Amino acid sequence: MVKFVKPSLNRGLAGRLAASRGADGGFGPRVGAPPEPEATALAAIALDDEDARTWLASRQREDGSLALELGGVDNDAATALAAIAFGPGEPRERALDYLAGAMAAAVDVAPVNPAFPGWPWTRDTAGWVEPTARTLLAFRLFRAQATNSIAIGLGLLRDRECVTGGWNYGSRSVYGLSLPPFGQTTAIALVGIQRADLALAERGLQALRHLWREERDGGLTLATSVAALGLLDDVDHGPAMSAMIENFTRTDFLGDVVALAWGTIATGPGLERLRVLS
Amino acid sequence: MGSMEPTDRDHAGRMDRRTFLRGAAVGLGLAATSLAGVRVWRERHGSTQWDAAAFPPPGEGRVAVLHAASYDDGLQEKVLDGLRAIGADVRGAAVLLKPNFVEYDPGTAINTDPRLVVAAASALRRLGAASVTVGEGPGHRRDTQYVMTRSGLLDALREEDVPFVDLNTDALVARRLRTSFTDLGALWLPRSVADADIVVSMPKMKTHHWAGVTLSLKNCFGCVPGRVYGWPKNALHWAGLEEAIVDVAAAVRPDLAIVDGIVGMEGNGPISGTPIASNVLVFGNDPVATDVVAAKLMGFDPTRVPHLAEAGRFLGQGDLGRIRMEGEDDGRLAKDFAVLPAFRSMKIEGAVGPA
Repeated sequence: MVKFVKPSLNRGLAGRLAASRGADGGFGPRVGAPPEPEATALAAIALDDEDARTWLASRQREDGSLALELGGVDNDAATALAAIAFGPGEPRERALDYLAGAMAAAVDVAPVNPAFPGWPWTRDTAGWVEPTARTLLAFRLFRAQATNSIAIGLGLLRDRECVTGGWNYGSRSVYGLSLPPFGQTTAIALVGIQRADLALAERGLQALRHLWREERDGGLTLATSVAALGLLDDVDHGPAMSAMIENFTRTDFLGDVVALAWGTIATGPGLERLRVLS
Repeated sequence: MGSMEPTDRDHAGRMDRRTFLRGAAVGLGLAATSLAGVRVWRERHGSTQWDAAAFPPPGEGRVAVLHAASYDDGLQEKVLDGLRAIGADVRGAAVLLKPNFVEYDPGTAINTDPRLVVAAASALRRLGAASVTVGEGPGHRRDTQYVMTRSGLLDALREEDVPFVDLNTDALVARRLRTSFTDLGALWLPRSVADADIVVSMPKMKTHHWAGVTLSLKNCFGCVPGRVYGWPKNALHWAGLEEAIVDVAAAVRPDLAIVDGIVGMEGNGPISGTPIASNVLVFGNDPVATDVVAAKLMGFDPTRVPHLAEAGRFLGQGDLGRIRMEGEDDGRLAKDFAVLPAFRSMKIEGAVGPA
């Protein structure tokens, strides 16, 4: 296994991320914004941060989820990240219990296979690549016996794989027109899959090797790509990391805390917290 | 942050969700074949889907249609002409300029042209705006930095010292809906949108493979944050795309609209269509009226576009006969935008465009 931790690179990102912490220990989606579950969960993973975990625990609902909720919309997609961020114990188990029962609504419309609904962004809606990949990762890391949930997560990612490899947001085609893969969604999918399906992962890596170059103007794309390439010990990990650091140094990722957190994870010990050992 | 209740009572009257829009919600492209038209919409929703106290009867809208051959020459003066023609008064106002940046794909016409965005920001400043901020929350890409950088918008704004705010990561404000076409009941809006004195919706003139057209009303989808509603804002699609267009636009309530039709998109819009040199800019002090005129310029019968027909009942002026036209002869500037077969019934008879 390649040693991926880059202390000097990680310090800059981690320092910037840590500086964005709110007074109550949580992290907002942008530097200076009020705390929210997703940014706080990622920061907790990136920094191994107890205050952030405390913030998450204080926002965990009785059913185990963490959410942004208003009116008819309940975005519970950060629950999987929180499950990863929590240490061993009740909060993590409650989050995983919730996820096991919070699959997406089945959509029985070709080309989607309704047997693999995956997980949604918002409760009781359709499944998408990113929230499914996060949930798949949480189960593979901490509840390997949840074979049905893992099969459904992997099934969705196999089902939604773009014709050219990699992933768009949710479907491989619209009106019969093949959709292109995106760097960020492909990277997140690979973080979820890792070595669970080597052929699927290799096709995704082939796509990602050109996507991160095409999309190197995006900090979030680069940060998630570096994480995925690192977890899969790919030869592109070093070049992608260099591109990410160059982007961060020049743009501060526009203050996007989620991108800062992924960048910190990708260059530091947080990456090992996402690695599935099998 | 967890649950937040809207500040006053929730709406009543929940609508049934429709299977075809669930298909649309996962990007399957089924909605167009099931568009039921305005008659079915009204059977579904009845006539009391908005709070009359919040929406006084629409007055006369003012819309200006100006010919613009390209993005290169005299664009700022052209925008000034258009804004003056509709009587836009932005003096002392904090303006949020909301263009349409969905995705980056070189050689296509997906996004509002950055040169026009900069020209509009400069024109608004010259008209006395206290501040002009450009804000967008891309619906099709989570990586806003990627879309804004590759499209050239960030560099163009930086050159003119115009600030940009990512509406997908902005702080949130809860806003109770005064309409109930969906069962959303309330929306999170970015603080930059909620706090602006004037919101200018600045869409690209495009066809849309689920809604017929995407103009200044549909452009408001970019005002709600993906980190709540998902990418590509799928909770809105799930709630019913056409209904959500009306609910979101009624929550944002843009004050002005500037439609970039210098190069539009026809066919399988809003992402995969074909550029069309439509050579027109449409300005309006009423987004509904602006969209109605723009849709007609594209060869659509606005009364057959469900979200326009419905918004025209309460949100703005939908009656072409009651829209005060300024500028040039809009008939001369019309272009027949090609549509997918499912949308031919929305086109003006004899103007169905190529297949």
